[in-house]
Amino acid sequence: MPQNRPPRWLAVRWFAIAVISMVLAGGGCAATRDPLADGRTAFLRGDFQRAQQDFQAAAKSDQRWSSVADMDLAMAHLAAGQPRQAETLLRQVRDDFDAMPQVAPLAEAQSLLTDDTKLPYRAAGYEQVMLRAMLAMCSLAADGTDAESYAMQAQMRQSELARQADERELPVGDAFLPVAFAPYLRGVLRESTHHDYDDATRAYELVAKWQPDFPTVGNDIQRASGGSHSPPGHGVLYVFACVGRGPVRVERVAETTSDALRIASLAVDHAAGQAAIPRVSNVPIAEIFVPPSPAFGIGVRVDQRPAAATATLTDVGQLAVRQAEAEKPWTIARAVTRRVAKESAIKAASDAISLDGQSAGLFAFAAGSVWESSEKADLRCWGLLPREIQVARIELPAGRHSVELEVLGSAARPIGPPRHDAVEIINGSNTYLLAFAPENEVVAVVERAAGQ
Amino acid sequence: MLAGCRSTQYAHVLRPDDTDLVGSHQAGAAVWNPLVDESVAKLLSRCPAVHPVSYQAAEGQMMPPMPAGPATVCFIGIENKSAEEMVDFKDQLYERIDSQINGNAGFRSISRRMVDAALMETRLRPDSLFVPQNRELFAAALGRAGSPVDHLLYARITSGTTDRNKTTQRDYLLTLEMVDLHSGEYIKESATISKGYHNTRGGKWWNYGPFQQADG
Repeated sequence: MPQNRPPRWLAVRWFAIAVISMVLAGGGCAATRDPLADGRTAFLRGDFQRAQQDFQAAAKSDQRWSSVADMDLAMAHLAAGQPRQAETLLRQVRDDFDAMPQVAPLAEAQSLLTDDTKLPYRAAGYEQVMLRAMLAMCSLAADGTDAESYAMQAQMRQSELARQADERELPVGDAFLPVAFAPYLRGVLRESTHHDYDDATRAYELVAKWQPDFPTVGNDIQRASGGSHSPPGHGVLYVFACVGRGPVRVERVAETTSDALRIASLAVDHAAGQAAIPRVSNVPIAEIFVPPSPAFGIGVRVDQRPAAATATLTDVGQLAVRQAEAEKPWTIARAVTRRVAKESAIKAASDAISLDGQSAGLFAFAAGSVWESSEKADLRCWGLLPREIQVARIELPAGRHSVELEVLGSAARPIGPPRHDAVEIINGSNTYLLAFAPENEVVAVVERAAGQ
Repeated sequence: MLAGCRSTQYAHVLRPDDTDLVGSHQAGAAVWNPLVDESVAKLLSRCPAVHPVSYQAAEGQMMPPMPAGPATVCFIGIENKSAEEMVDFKDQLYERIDSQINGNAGFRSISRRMVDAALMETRLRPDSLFVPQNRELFAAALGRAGSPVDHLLYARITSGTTDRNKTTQRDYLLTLEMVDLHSGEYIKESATISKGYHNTRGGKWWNYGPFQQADG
């Protein structure tokens, strides 16, 4: 008879206390450091070399972050005037995403026992579309050879995502905002051929349908359907602007909704042959957050005279927020399913060591607390996308012109120092300026004349 | 297996006698290629075999020596007036038509780059070249660039759509129009292909097969 052994409830209590102490002591280390934060900060202040070094280091140090690090690195290359490197990187990332398996059972099982950060990164729908849109931008800034193809790919990808969402009974119309940048760019390129005005008209009509607030689309349609690219002796300057800071993911504690529980119960049903969902009131999930930025547009002065202000063609922030909102029940359901799996495992362990009553409760509480506190939302995302893609179109006489770009605030007044550049306008051709204004200053400008 | 299979893409090269894929949502190679082949063949069969290249000399100017040879054709472009976006097909159809015209002994087409340069110089829209004065301006610009022209060729794609419940019939029409710049006369040829789109595999048989439900 083991007379000298302490009672089992005492042992369990000590175990629980030890576990809770560990949780409390480890609380300070729970937050994971974002390995891309330094690079993004460097980008925002215009230090692209430093940003590139940081992103390269992050991609090397942790394989799970390599895709998002590469996408941010591509943005740093593009802003630094290296569009070919940016294009190569983005193309590689696009192909990798396309080749990813639909289901990876091993990683899925691992993520069920830990969290989504253990999964290979899957680009969100808006990121997949923007990948192709930014590829078009890179090509435009290089030689323009593939710009139209990438623009078409963006358009087709968006349609494909909307079709998939429709099959999952998600609210397609509200959630999957079409990216008007793609048809606009196609219109610009077709118009510049001087013979495919019909294609340009169609493309601009699509822009009008998808982004009715875009103020100059009426002029674009009118010009493409009955006018000409530009008057004789003139060319066109297009200023494409990446304005504001784009969407990022932040961790939020979300309450479980009835929709999410319904989806989760279907998953649990399917996996375990039972529909019992334990009491799960809230779970950590990643939510889209658009960081505030004072930049609302870019004012363009040509030869010291105000010429135009950029207007929003695609609101990337809205795109991301709406898609994430539509996906939210599924995101929560996934977290609930994970919680169910963990609680079931704890219950099985408790049964295995023959705990019952108060002992079992304490054990479940302690083990559950430890396990669940280690759970983190997946915050990986393409953080250097702009909040908005804007554009301005200016017809100018052929020749060299000085251009000043300055960031405009909410009152349409300049809020930062002007950035001076010079552009070459070619008779009958387009010249493209690609500007980056994440905050109150234009941090980079890339120029290409279509004839060069 | 547990790690998940990387999705893989496979491909093969089609033999000349292989059947073109029939697009499930839009016209594709199975529609456009035969349309081009038929309409170009019809057009060329109606054209006189050989035209001398001509040159309009100004008053008092000596007539330069004129080489006898094939007539020059300036293919302006394809105008898409159909209900469908042609995506990447338009440029390919242009090249296909241009190559077939150029392959005929009686004609020689003008380089597309020359055509684009003349359009840019004159700032004329392709659809405005139907106006005689604009045509003359355009031909003069080509002549100055060393490419005198005898014919202008236009291509236009149109479509007609008929819906019946879950089935759609779309008729595709490719029209080629060749204008003789010297006489102002034109010849026009077209080819058409109709295509049915269905929600189910049986839609084809139900509407166009033995049931013949298409006629009501």
